[in-house]
Amino acid sequence: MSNYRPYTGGNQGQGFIQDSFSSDTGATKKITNHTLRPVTIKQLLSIPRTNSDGDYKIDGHDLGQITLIAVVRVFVRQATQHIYHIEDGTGEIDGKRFTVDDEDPAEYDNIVEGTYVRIVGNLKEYQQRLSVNVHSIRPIKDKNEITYHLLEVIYTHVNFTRSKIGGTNMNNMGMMMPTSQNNFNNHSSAGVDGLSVKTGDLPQKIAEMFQNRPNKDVSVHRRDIISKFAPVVGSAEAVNNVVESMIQNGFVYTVEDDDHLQFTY
Amino acid sequence: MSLPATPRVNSAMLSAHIGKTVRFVGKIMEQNGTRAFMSAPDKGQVEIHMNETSQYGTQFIEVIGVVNSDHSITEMASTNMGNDFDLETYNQAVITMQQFPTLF
Repeated sequence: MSNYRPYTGGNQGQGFIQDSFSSDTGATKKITNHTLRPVTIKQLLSIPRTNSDGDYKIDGHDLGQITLIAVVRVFVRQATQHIYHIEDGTGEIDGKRFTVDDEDPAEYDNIVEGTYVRIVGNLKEYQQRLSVNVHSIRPIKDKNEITYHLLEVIYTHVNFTRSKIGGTNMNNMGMMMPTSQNNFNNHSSAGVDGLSVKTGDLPQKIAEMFQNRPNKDVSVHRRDIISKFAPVVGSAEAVNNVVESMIQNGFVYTVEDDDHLQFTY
Repeated sequence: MSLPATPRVNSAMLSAHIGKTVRFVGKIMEQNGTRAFMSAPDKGQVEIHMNETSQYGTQFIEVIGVVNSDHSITEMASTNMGNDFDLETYNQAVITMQQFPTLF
């Protein structure tokens, strides 16, 4: 990466070709950098620090722009930049915003120390010290936005860290799917193979039932799932609860009404 | 300048944070001089020993303060949270946050 200098002059003709190869990874990074991730300050401060410039990852995903909600504790206006010392209960960090000639003074005039603000920016490191390069800062008017942000941070984290198919007890499902698809003819025995089916296995079994349908465009009726698994599990309610949780977790969605179900993939 | 991390708590979590600095959002029920009683996100009532200088301008207030052994809070700083704050949803968020110590 040390010779990645796409915009420097030098021998232009050749340089262009060389750069287009050597900067390949840089180019893809630029694209992913257009993401906007809701974060807490604690997440920023606990990012593993590498020596590569600006290559931050949270939950294994490249960090592009970030958005956070915090309280401004100290607001310093300098000639060329504004410094906001911010804190969100999980940690503290400096936000820096370079002043530009044509900016609207109203944007920073209504930033008051001790109040909540929403910041959009990106993470920067200078002399081992992390700060947020602030692109936009505005006071929070409706404080419910704070709750919203907390939940959005959790949602994003869960979305990135759990496998597509979800929580721990469903982790094997993705792996089991292809094999159960190959054993297409065995599917009837898969769901009802003896009394060994516990509620913990049920999401897998239900997923297999969806997966093994001859025609995947046709939805499955809730009562078919219940009637198939209730004898095994012992209670229709237990089966229904599992179906509900699969709907809530996004593995199954309702189609024409609440009882016609489709599998997410 | 160093600010301590302040976990968000409801009234049930106060006992686990005695002597620590917390962040508590509540609705003012009663205010008498520098003593205030607030309704917590989880419906409990919490006594706040207010900062001499602080003025509560709205119904909902976020208090940063130290938890006393009697589960009251001695305020260090506070923020107005407006008159329209959904405490129930906030309470759910606070409870859910407990499961994610790497984030909060």
